[in-house]
Amino acid sequence: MGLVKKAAAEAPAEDRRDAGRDPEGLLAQLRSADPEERRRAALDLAGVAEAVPALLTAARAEQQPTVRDAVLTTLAAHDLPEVARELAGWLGDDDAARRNAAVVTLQAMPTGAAAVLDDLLVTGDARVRTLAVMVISALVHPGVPDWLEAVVDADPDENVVAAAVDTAQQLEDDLARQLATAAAARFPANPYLQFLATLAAGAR
Amino acid sequence: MSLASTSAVGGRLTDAQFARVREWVYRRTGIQFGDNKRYFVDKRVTNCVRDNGGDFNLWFASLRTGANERVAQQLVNELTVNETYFLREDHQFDSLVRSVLPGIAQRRRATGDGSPIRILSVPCSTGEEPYSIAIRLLSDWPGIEEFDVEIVAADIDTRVLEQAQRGEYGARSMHRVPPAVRSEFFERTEGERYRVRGDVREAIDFTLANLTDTAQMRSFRAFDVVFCRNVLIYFDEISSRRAAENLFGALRPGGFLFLGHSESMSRISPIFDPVRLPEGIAYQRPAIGATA
Repeated sequence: MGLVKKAAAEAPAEDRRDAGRDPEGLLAQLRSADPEERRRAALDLAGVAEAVPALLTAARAEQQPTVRDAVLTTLAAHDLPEVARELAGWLGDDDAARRNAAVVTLQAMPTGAAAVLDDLLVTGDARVRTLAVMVISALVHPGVPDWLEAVVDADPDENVVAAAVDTAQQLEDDLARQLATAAAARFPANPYLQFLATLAAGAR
Repeated sequence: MSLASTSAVGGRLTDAQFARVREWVYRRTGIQFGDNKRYFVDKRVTNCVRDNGGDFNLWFASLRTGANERVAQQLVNELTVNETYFLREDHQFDSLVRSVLPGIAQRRRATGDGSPIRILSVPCSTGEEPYSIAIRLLSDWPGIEEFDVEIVAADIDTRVLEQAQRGEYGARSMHRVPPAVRSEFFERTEGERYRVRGDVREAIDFTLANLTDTAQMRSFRAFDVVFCRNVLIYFDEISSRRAAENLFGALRPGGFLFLGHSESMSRISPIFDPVRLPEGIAYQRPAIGATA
């Protein structure tokens, strides 16, 4: 016994991870009954543009969070509007894990998220609009200040507006001051927005 | 003098600027800087701002919008310590020999599994980490008499792999190695240079690996323990998610992952279960679905 060099431990005989790595085989494995096989197939479909529709279907149907995260990891790298549209639909889901997975994935998709944010920010559900602001809060995109400004100027819900001002505080003094002042003027009875305006005015 | 809007070499950040930088660094790297690190952060951010024109707002906008990845990389480099040496973050090796390996050994005995225990060090850089693991196993884990252990050490850089295989180190790498360990596991070559004992060098399998390349990482499988320290902080969001998935695939169900002390998997991906061991935090691959 002691330190030994590899070869002693081979992969289990039933391990089929080397089998059928062509896109056709991977798409079939995406529907496998074995969650580990589905997970590996999803990861190996990285960069395969034709697989996006099947991955979206898989993401929608997948019940295993670990497999779903692998599917979303591959989809996020595609950063396409159709992927973002699917995930945008999850923001209104009753399942908190799916909502959270959608937010985190959209945050990593600047191009895709940009294609859906304008619509998300005017949807009728204030909860979805708040999650859209959460997406913006970590999105690496030059349009972030404009989206936040649009929320503060027009969103009817003071909590959504407060989320936008909070995000602006993480970006820049001038923007934070501008948005906090505007938000406080729109909702003079909201103590939190008044507090944010005071905070931003005193930032130094 | 502050960096409120224009050039201020040698200045300090405002509270709001510090908060912004701190938030960005956390999102990007998982590293959390408390207020007690203010001076450290201020000094390094000031350097970055100065190197990029001197205007904090312009610099931060460039960072935040992703307009210039070089700016982001510079800040990460400034705020992280890029060095490797023997027995670094030793408490994780304590965790390995006191908590993790005894548990694995117990399960092996209970199931009659006689296969070797497999440990992966990735990225292994110039080899200090995998050799440290080997030394700690041989010195401090009695189970080594009962079980075979494989240590695989992988890195994306062939130059560091060559250095690792050579196993020769100077004073900087050796500064935490006690004299008794030096004399047991090293041979002095010249001056203050030491070389890892031949049988220990020979026992480690050094190989090439790109953590974010799923196809390449597919050959890494059935590991009981993976050390992947101080590298995920350098990856962007997509790359770190993929690396996490690849590490998941490299581990057996129930296998343990050690990250650097300032890193957090929960920032990257929810697929691992955090485990509080007496010596610190590790992450465990859960079993999934039918193949558990």
